[in-house]
Amino acid sequence: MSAPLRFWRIADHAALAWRHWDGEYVFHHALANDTHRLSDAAGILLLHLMESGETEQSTLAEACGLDAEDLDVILSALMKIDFVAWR
Amino acid sequence: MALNLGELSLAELRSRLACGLDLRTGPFRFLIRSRHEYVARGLATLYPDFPLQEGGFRDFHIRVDKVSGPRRWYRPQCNFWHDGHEPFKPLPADHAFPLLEWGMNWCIAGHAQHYLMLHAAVLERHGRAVILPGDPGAGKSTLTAALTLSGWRLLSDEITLIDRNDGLIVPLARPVSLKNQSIDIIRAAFPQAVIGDIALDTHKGTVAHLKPPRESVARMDEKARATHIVFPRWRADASAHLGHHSKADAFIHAATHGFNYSLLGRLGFELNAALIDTCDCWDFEYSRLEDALTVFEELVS
Repeated sequence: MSAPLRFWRIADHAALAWRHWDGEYVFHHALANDTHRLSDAAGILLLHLMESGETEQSTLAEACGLDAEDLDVILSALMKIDFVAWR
Repeated sequence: MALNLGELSLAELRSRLACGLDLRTGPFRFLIRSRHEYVARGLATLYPDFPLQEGGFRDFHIRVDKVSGPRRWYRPQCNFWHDGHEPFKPLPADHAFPLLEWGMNWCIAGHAQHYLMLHAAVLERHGRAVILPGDPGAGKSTLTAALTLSGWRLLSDEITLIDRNDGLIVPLARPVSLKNQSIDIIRAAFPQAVIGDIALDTHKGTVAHLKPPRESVARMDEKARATHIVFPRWRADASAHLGHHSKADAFIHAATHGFNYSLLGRLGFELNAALIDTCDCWDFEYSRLEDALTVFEELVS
Protein backbone atom coordinates (compact mmCIF):
# COMPACT_ATOMS: atom_id res chain seq x y z
CA MET A 1 0.00 0.00 0.00
CA SER A 2 1.48 3.37 -0.96
CA ALA A 3 1.69 6.33 1.45
CA PRO A 4 -1.03 8.96 0.99
CA LEU A 5 0.00 12.02 -0.99
CA ARG A 6 0.90 15.05 1.07
CA PHE A 7 0.65 18.57 -0.33
CA TRP A 8 2.77 21.22 1.41
CA ARG A 9 2.30 24.97 1.49
CA ILE A 10 3.47 28.02 3.42
CA ALA A 11 1.37 28.25 6.59
CA ASP A 12 -1.58 30.62 6.38
CA HIS A 13 -0.83 34.17 7.56
CA ALA A 14 2.90 33.46 7.87
CA ALA A 15 3.71 36.23 5.35
CA LEU A 16 7.37 35.26 5.33
CA ALA A 17 10.14 37.76 4.66
CA TRP A 18 13.67 36.58 4.10
CA ARG A 19 17.32 37.37 3.44
CA HIS A 20 20.10 35.15 2.14
CA TRP A 21 23.76 35.65 2.97
CA ASP A 22 26.65 33.27 2.31
CA GLY A 23 24.64 30.05 2.24
CA GLU A 24 22.41 30.90 5.20
CA TYR A 25 18.89 32.22 5.34
CA VAL A 26 17.07 34.37 7.87
CA PHE A 27 13.27 34.25 7.75
CA HIS A 28 10.72 36.38 9.56
CA HIS A 29 7.24 35.03 10.30
CA ALA A 30 4.90 38.01 10.38
CA LEU A 31 2.07 36.51 12.42
CA ALA A 32 4.28 35.00 15.12
CA ASN A 33 6.81 37.87 14.83
CA ASP A 34 9.52 35.22 15.05
CA THR A 35 12.89 35.30 13.30
CA HIS A 36 14.77 32.11 12.44
CA ARG A 37 18.19 31.43 10.95
CA LEU A 38 17.83 28.50 8.55
CA SER A 39 20.09 26.26 6.52
CA ASP A 40 20.46 26.60 2.78
CA ALA A 41 18.25 23.53 2.21
CA ALA A 42 15.41 24.80 4.40
CA GLY A 43 15.63 28.22 2.77
CA ILE A 44 15.48 26.78 -0.74
CA LEU A 45 12.47 24.67 0.24
CA LEU A 46 10.59 27.68 1.64
CA LEU A 47 11.42 29.80 -1.40
CA HIS A 48 10.10 27.03 -3.64
CA LEU A 49 6.82 26.92 -1.72
CA MET A 50 6.55 30.70 -1.75
CA GLU A 51 7.06 30.77 -5.49
CA SER A 52 5.19 27.66 -6.60
CA GLY A 53 2.45 27.42 -3.99
CA GLU A 54 1.14 24.10 -2.71
CA THR A 55 3.41 21.26 -3.82
CA GLU A 56 3.19 17.51 -3.49
CA GLN A 57 5.96 16.08 -1.26
CA SER A 58 7.84 14.01 -3.84
CA THR A 59 7.74 16.90 -6.32
CA LEU A 60 9.09 19.15 -3.58
CA ALA A 61 11.93 16.71 -2.86
CA GLU A 62 12.87 16.65 -6.51
CA ALA A 63 12.61 20.41 -6.96
CA CYS A 64 14.84 21.07 -3.94
CA GLY A 65 17.31 18.24 -4.62
CA LEU A 66 16.62 16.58 -1.26
CA ASP A 67 16.26 12.90 -0.42
CA ALA A 68 13.08 11.77 1.30
CA GLU A 69 14.63 11.47 4.75
CA ASP A 70 16.21 14.96 4.74
CA LEU A 71 12.99 16.45 3.40
CA ASP A 72 11.01 14.84 6.23
CA VAL A 73 13.36 16.28 8.85
CA ILE A 74 13.23 19.77 7.37
CA LEU A 75 9.45 19.81 6.86
CA SER A 76 8.87 18.52 10.35
CA ALA A 77 11.08 21.26 11.83
CA LEU A 78 9.44 23.94 9.72
CA MET A 79 5.98 22.70 10.71
CA LYS A 80 6.90 22.97 14.39
CA ILE A 81 7.66 26.66 14.00
CA ASP A 82 4.48 27.13 11.93
CA PHE A 83 6.24 28.01 8.70
CA VAL A 84 4.61 25.24 6.63
CA ALA A 85 1.40 23.22 6.69
CA TRP A 86 0.08 20.25 4.72
CA ARG A 87 -3.15 18.61 3.62
CA MET B 1 22.53 80.16 19.88
CA ALA B 2 22.14 77.64 22.71
CA LEU B 3 24.38 77.92 25.74
CA ASN B 4 26.69 74.99 26.42
CA LEU B 5 26.65 73.42 29.86
CA GLY B 6 30.36 74.21 30.33
CA GLU B 7 29.62 77.93 30.13
CA LEU B 8 27.80 77.74 33.47
CA SER B 9 29.70 78.15 36.74
CA LEU B 10 29.28 75.28 39.17
CA ALA B 11 27.01 77.51 41.27
CA GLU B 12 24.86 78.32 38.22
CA LEU B 13 24.75 74.65 37.28
CA ARG B 14 23.60 73.69 40.80
CA SER B 15 20.97 76.38 40.67
CA ARG B 16 19.68 75.22 37.26
CA LEU B 17 19.68 71.59 38.38
CA ALA B 18 17.55 72.49 41.39
CA CYS B 19 14.71 73.66 39.15
CA GLY B 20 15.48 71.67 35.99
CA LEU B 21 18.43 71.63 33.59
CA ASP B 22 17.36 71.30 29.97
CA LEU B 23 20.04 69.16 28.31
CA ARG B 24 20.04 67.89 24.74
CA THR B 25 21.91 64.73 23.79
CA GLY B 26 21.47 63.68 20.17
CA PRO B 27 17.78 63.72 19.28
CA PHE B 28 16.63 63.65 22.92
CA ARG B 29 15.98 66.41 25.40
CA PHE B 30 16.21 65.67 29.09
CA LEU B 31 14.95 67.92 31.85
CA ILE B 32 17.22 66.92 34.73
CA ARG B 33 16.54 67.85 38.32
CA SER B 34 18.99 67.14 41.13
CA ARG B 35 20.36 68.65 44.31
CA HIS B 36 23.02 65.99 44.49
CA GLU B 37 26.58 67.30 44.41
CA TYR B 38 27.88 64.24 42.51
CA VAL B 39 25.37 64.85 39.73
CA ALA B 40 26.41 68.49 39.36
CA ARG B 41 30.08 67.54 39.39
CA GLY B 42 29.60 64.70 36.92
CA LEU B 43 27.67 66.87 34.49
CA ALA B 44 30.24 69.68 34.79
CA THR B 45 33.09 67.25 34.06
CA LEU B 46 31.51 65.10 31.35
CA TYR B 47 28.88 67.22 29.61
CA PRO B 48 30.50 70.69 29.23
CA ASP B 49 30.13 70.70 25.43
CA PHE B 50 26.45 69.74 25.37
CA PRO B 51 23.90 72.41 24.46
CA LEU B 52 21.32 73.60 26.95
CA GLN B 53 17.89 74.51 25.67
CA GLU B 54 15.17 76.82 26.92
CA GLY B 55 11.54 75.77 27.11
CA GLY B 56 9.71 73.70 24.54
CA PHE B 57 9.14 69.96 24.48
CA ARG B 58 11.30 67.65 26.58
CA ASP B 59 11.39 63.94 25.89
CA PHE B 60 12.22 62.90 29.44
CA HIS B 61 11.67 64.55 32.82
CA ILE B 62 14.09 62.92 35.23
CA ARG B 63 15.46 63.47 38.68
CA VAL B 64 18.29 62.00 40.76
CA ASP B 65 18.32 62.88 44.45
CA LYS B 66 18.93 61.49 47.87
CA VAL B 67 16.04 59.46 49.22
CA SER B 68 14.10 60.84 52.16
CA GLY B 69 13.78 59.33 55.61
CA PRO B 70 16.54 57.82 57.75
CA ARG B 71 18.51 56.86 54.62
CA ARG B 72 19.24 60.54 54.12
CA TRP B 73 21.76 60.29 56.98
CA TYR B 74 22.39 56.61 57.69
CA ARG B 75 24.23 55.03 54.77
CA PRO B 76 22.70 57.64 52.46
CA GLN B 77 21.00 56.47 49.32
CA CYS B 78 19.89 58.09 46.09
CA ASN B 79 17.25 57.21 43.55
CA PHE B 80 16.15 57.98 40.01
CA TRP B 81 12.76 59.40 39.13
CA HIS B 82 11.18 59.43 35.68
CA ASP B 83 7.94 61.41 35.42
CA GLY B 84 7.64 61.07 39.18
CA HIS B 85 8.00 57.27 39.17
CA GLU B 86 10.93 55.34 40.64
CA PRO B 87 11.75 52.48 38.24
CA PHE B 88 14.83 51.33 40.18
CA LYS B 89 15.74 50.42 43.72
CA PRO B 90 17.76 53.06 45.60
CA LEU B 91 21.54 52.93 45.36
CA PRO B 92 24.29 54.25 47.64
CA ALA B 93 24.39 58.04 47.41
CA ASP B 94 27.86 58.08 45.86
CA HIS B 95 26.47 56.16 42.85
CA ALA B 96 24.32 59.14 41.91
CA PHE B 97 26.10 59.98 38.66
CA PRO B 98 26.21 56.42 37.27
CA LEU B 99 22.55 56.16 38.28
CA LEU B 100 21.81 59.24 36.19
CA GLU B 101 23.62 57.69 33.20
CA TRP B 102 21.84 54.34 33.60
CA GLY B 103 18.55 56.14 34.03
CA MET B 104 19.09 58.13 30.83
CA ASN B 105 19.90 54.89 28.99
CA TRP B 106 16.77 53.31 30.44
CA CYS B 107 14.66 56.24 29.25
CA ILE B 108 15.98 55.97 25.70
CA ALA B 109 15.96 52.16 25.49
CA GLY B 110 12.45 51.93 26.88
CA HIS B 111 10.77 54.74 25.02
CA ALA B 112 12.49 55.67 21.75
CA GLN B 113 10.56 53.16 19.67
CA HIS B 114 10.72 55.39 16.61
CA TYR B 115 14.28 54.05 16.14
CA LEU B 116 15.63 50.55 15.82
CA MET B 117 17.87 50.33 18.89
CA LEU B 118 20.75 47.89 19.08
CA HIS B 119 22.79 47.18 22.18
CA ALA B 120 26.11 48.21 20.69
CA ALA B 121 28.68 50.97 20.57
CA VAL B 122 29.15 52.82 17.30
CA LEU B 123 31.92 55.10 16.06
CA GLU B 124 32.69 56.81 12.78
CA ARG B 125 35.89 57.57 10.89
CA HIS B 126 36.33 58.79 7.28
CA GLY B 127 32.55 58.74 6.85
CA ARG B 128 32.25 55.07 7.80
CA ALA B 129 30.46 54.00 10.95
CA VAL B 130 31.57 50.82 12.70
CA ILE B 131 29.11 49.10 15.01
CA LEU B 132 30.58 47.20 17.97
CA PRO B 133 28.16 44.78 19.56
CA GLY B 134 29.72 42.92 22.41
CA ASP B 135 28.85 40.65 25.24
CA PRO B 136 29.86 41.82 28.73
CA GLY B 137 33.61 41.44 29.24
CA ALA B 138 34.34 41.41 25.51
CA GLY B 139 36.31 44.65 25.73
CA LYS B 140 33.76 46.75 23.84
CA SER B 141 33.85 49.78 26.11
CA THR B 142 37.65 49.80 26.40
CA LEU B 143 37.95 49.65 22.63
CA THR B 144 35.27 52.32 22.22
CA ALA B 145 37.10 54.61 24.63
CA ALA B 146 40.44 54.03 22.89
CA LEU B 147 38.97 54.76 19.45
CA THR B 148 37.18 57.82 20.80
CA LEU B 149 40.46 59.15 22.17
CA SER B 150 42.24 58.42 18.88
CA GLY B 151 40.26 60.66 16.58
CA TRP B 152 37.18 58.55 15.91
CA ARG B 153 33.80 60.25 16.22
CA LEU B 154 31.80 58.76 19.06
CA LEU B 155 28.22 58.16 18.00
CA SER B 156 27.22 56.05 20.98
CA ASP B 157 28.76 53.87 23.64
CA GLU B 158 25.76 51.77 24.54
CA ILE B 159 22.74 52.27 22.29
CA THR B 160 23.02 52.30 18.50
CA LEU B 161 20.05 54.24 17.14
CA ILE B 162 18.98 53.48 13.59
CA ASP B 163 16.70 55.92 11.81
CA ARG B 164 13.72 53.98 10.45
CA ASN B 165 13.35 56.33 7.48
CA ASP B 166 16.84 56.18 6.00
CA GLY B 167 18.65 53.43 7.95
CA LEU B 168 21.37 55.86 9.06
CA ILE B 169 22.94 55.90 12.52
CA VAL B 170 21.72 58.72 14.75
CA PRO B 171 24.40 59.97 17.17
CA LEU B 172 23.95 60.24 20.91
CA ALA B 173 27.56 61.11 21.80
CA ARG B 174 27.10 60.51 25.54
CA PRO B 175 29.96 59.64 27.94
CA VAL B 176 31.59 56.21 27.60
CA SER B 177 31.04 53.91 30.55
CA LEU B 178 34.29 52.33 31.73
CA LYS B 179 34.32 49.40 34.10
CA ASN B 180 36.91 47.85 36.41
CA GLN B 181 40.36 47.40 34.80
CA SER B 182 39.41 49.38 31.72
CA ILE B 183 39.52 52.60 33.78
CA ASP B 184 43.22 52.15 34.54
CA ILE B 185 43.97 50.85 31.05
CA ILE B 186 42.49 53.96 29.43
CA ARG B 187 44.13 56.29 31.98
CA ALA B 188 47.52 54.73 31.29
CA ALA B 189 47.18 54.72 27.51
CA PHE B 190 45.58 58.16 27.22
CA PRO B 191 46.74 60.47 30.03
CA GLN B 192 44.73 63.33 28.46
CA ALA B 193 41.44 61.44 28.92
CA VAL B 194 38.90 63.24 31.10
CA ILE B 195 37.33 60.66 33.38
CA GLY B 196 34.69 61.47 35.98
CA ASP B 197 34.35 60.29 39.57
CA ILE B 198 34.85 56.61 40.25
CA ALA B 199 31.90 54.74 41.75
CA LEU B 200 32.97 51.62 43.67
CA ASP B 201 30.98 48.44 44.24
CA THR B 202 28.16 49.12 41.81
CA HIS B 203 26.30 46.11 40.36
CA LYS B 204 28.70 46.42 37.41
CA GLY B 205 31.78 46.69 39.63
CA THR B 206 33.85 49.86 39.65
CA VAL B 207 32.46 52.35 37.17
CA ALA B 208 33.64 55.68 35.77
CA HIS B 209 32.69 57.66 32.68
CA LEU B 210 34.85 59.11 29.93
CA LYS B 211 34.04 62.56 28.56
CA PRO B 212 33.08 62.45 24.88
CA PRO B 213 35.26 64.57 22.59
CA ARG B 214 34.02 68.08 21.83
CA GLU B 215 33.90 67.35 18.10
CA SER B 216 31.66 64.30 18.61
CA VAL B 217 29.23 66.43 20.60
CA ALA B 218 29.36 69.28 18.09
CA ARG B 219 28.44 66.84 15.30
CA MET B 220 25.68 65.01 17.18
CA ASP B 221 23.08 66.07 14.60
CA GLU B 222 25.11 64.53 11.77
CA LYS B 223 23.97 60.99 10.98
CA ALA B 224 26.37 58.34 9.69
CA ARG B 225 26.21 55.33 7.41
CA ALA B 226 27.22 51.99 8.93
CA THR B 227 29.72 50.02 6.85
CA HIS B 228 31.10 47.47 9.32
CA ILE B 229 29.89 45.40 12.25
CA VAL B 230 32.77 44.17 14.36
CA PHE B 231 32.38 41.73 17.24
CA PRO B 232 35.34 42.47 19.53
CA ARG B 233 36.85 39.99 21.95
CA TRP B 234 39.76 40.75 24.23
CA ARG B 235 42.02 37.74 24.92
CA ALA B 236 45.34 37.86 26.75
CA ASP B 237 48.33 37.64 24.39
CA ALA B 238 46.15 37.42 21.28
CA SER B 239 47.51 39.15 18.20
CA ALA B 240 45.06 41.63 16.72
CA HIS B 241 43.24 40.11 13.79
CA LEU B 242 39.93 40.22 11.97
CA GLY B 243 38.07 37.09 10.90
CA HIS B 244 34.93 36.58 8.85
CA HIS B 245 31.68 36.66 10.84
CA SER B 246 28.57 35.15 9.26
CA LYS B 247 26.02 37.78 8.26
CA ALA B 248 23.13 35.57 9.31
CA ASP B 249 24.70 35.25 12.75
CA ALA B 250 25.30 39.00 12.91
CA PHE B 251 21.63 39.50 12.07
CA ILE B 252 20.47 37.17 14.83
CA HIS B 253 22.91 38.71 17.32
CA ALA B 254 21.68 42.21 16.53
CA ALA B 255 18.07 41.06 16.78
CA THR B 256 18.62 39.18 20.04
CA HIS B 257 20.53 42.03 21.64
CA GLY B 258 18.35 44.75 20.17
CA PHE B 259 16.28 46.76 22.60
CA ASN B 260 13.17 46.83 20.42
CA TYR B 261 13.71 44.50 17.44
CA SER B 262 10.68 42.36 18.31
CA LEU B 263 8.53 45.32 19.14
CA LEU B 264 9.00 46.75 15.65
CA GLY B 265 7.85 43.50 14.00
CA ARG B 266 8.37 43.37 10.23
CA LEU B 267 9.88 46.87 10.26
CA GLY B 268 12.53 45.67 12.72
CA PHE B 269 13.35 42.77 10.39
CA GLU B 270 13.65 45.04 7.35
CA LEU B 271 15.76 47.65 9.14
CA ASN B 272 18.07 45.04 10.60
CA ALA B 273 18.35 43.24 7.26
CA ALA B 274 19.13 46.48 5.43
CA LEU B 275 21.86 47.16 7.98
CA ILE B 276 23.41 43.73 7.52
CA ASP B 277 23.13 44.06 3.73
CA THR B 278 25.33 47.14 3.76
CA CYS B 279 27.87 46.06 6.40
CA ASP B 280 30.89 43.80 6.33
CA CYS B 281 30.82 41.64 9.45
CA TRP B 282 33.93 40.68 11.38
CA ASP B 283 35.12 38.95 14.50
CA PHE B 284 37.97 40.86 16.06
CA GLU B 285 40.33 39.45 18.65
CA TYR B 286 42.95 41.61 20.34
CA SER B 287 45.03 42.06 23.43
CA ARG B 288 46.96 45.32 22.84
CA LEU B 289 45.00 48.53 22.29
CA GLU B 290 47.62 50.06 19.99
CA ASP B 291 47.39 47.05 17.65
CA ALA B 292 43.60 47.27 17.74
CA LEU B 293 43.72 50.93 16.76
CA THR B 294 45.94 50.11 13.78
CA VAL B 295 43.58 47.39 12.56
CA PHE B 296 40.56 49.67 12.89
CA GLU B 297 42.31 52.47 11.02
CA GLU B 298 43.08 50.08 8.16
CA LEU B 299 39.50 48.83 8.21
CA VAL B 300 38.07 52.22 7.30
CA SER B 301 40.93 53.60 5.22
